[in-house]
Amino acid sequence: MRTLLLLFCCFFSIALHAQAEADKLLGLWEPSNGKARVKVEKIGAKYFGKIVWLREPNDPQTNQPKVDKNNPDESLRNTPLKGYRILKDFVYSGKGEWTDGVIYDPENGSTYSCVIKMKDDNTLDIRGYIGVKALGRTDVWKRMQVTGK
Amino acid sequence: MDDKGKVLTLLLAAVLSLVCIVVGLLLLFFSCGSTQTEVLTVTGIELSAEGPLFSGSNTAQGICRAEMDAWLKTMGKTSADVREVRLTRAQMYVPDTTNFDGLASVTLMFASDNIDMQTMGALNPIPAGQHRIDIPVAHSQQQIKWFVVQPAFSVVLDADLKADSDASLGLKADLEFSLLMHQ
Repeated sequence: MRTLLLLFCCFFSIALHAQAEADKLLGLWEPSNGKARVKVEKIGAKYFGKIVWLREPNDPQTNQPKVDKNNPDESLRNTPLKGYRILKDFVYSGKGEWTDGVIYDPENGSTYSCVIKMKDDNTLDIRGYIGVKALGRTDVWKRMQVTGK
Repeated sequence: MDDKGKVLTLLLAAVLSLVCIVVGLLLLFFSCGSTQTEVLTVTGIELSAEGPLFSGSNTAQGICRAEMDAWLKTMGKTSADVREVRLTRAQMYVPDTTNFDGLASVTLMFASDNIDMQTMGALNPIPAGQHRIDIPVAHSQQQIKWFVVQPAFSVVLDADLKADSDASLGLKADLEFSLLMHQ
């Protein structure tokens, strides 16, 4: 009985540790170009990131808040870019890596397969690719410290 | 083989190809069979985002239990009879004492642990003084059947708040699905 309890405690603590590792992705991140900030949150067991800040929130042509004008689905081109989910469906696969997700580039309306690798607690390698992981581009994102509001 | 023979062979090949295509199309047509469309409505899905909320994008979430299996059973059907599902209407509403004036825009998504998230529609801007809003649904919809056949999936609403609020955000959703079914 004592062995069973010990085993249960071991499994429980391992599961808790894995969960804490996975949740390190949560928070506010800034891509290398500094044009936006992306908040990563969890829905169910997966991780999603949405734009919460834009360096240039308004479209210079219309002087209105930017919308997703390049979306391949015409019916969604009026969706505001601020609040747009550009990282979708990431699953923690261990060793500081989140996989199975996609990244959306609002500048050209394209969606790419994506892998996120945490280099350290405050740095992410975001690799977007089409088809083969080797043929892609990596961007470095930095964690932003959230100041209380 | 002389020139005449070559032309004849080519002609024969072309005719055979044409026959194959026609037979293929006929087989496809008859295998599809006739279809019918049914409407499934899920009402009163509660969505909430816990306050305090800050201006900008906030996420309200709820669970949709379409109970499609039970609904199909009443018609003597199963989910295997469902060929395609589309969201045809998404309506959000708040209690009559309040309205959507605190929100600039909303984006509706479906999410599940087993299926990729899908953006189902967006309303931007929200007209003033509304207790009830219809979110125009996306033209491009994929895999909706797989959301609806599950016992439950998440309904996610990204709401752009105009100002900070100490209160939580609570609203309800009615969703209407169109089901294309084998007869």
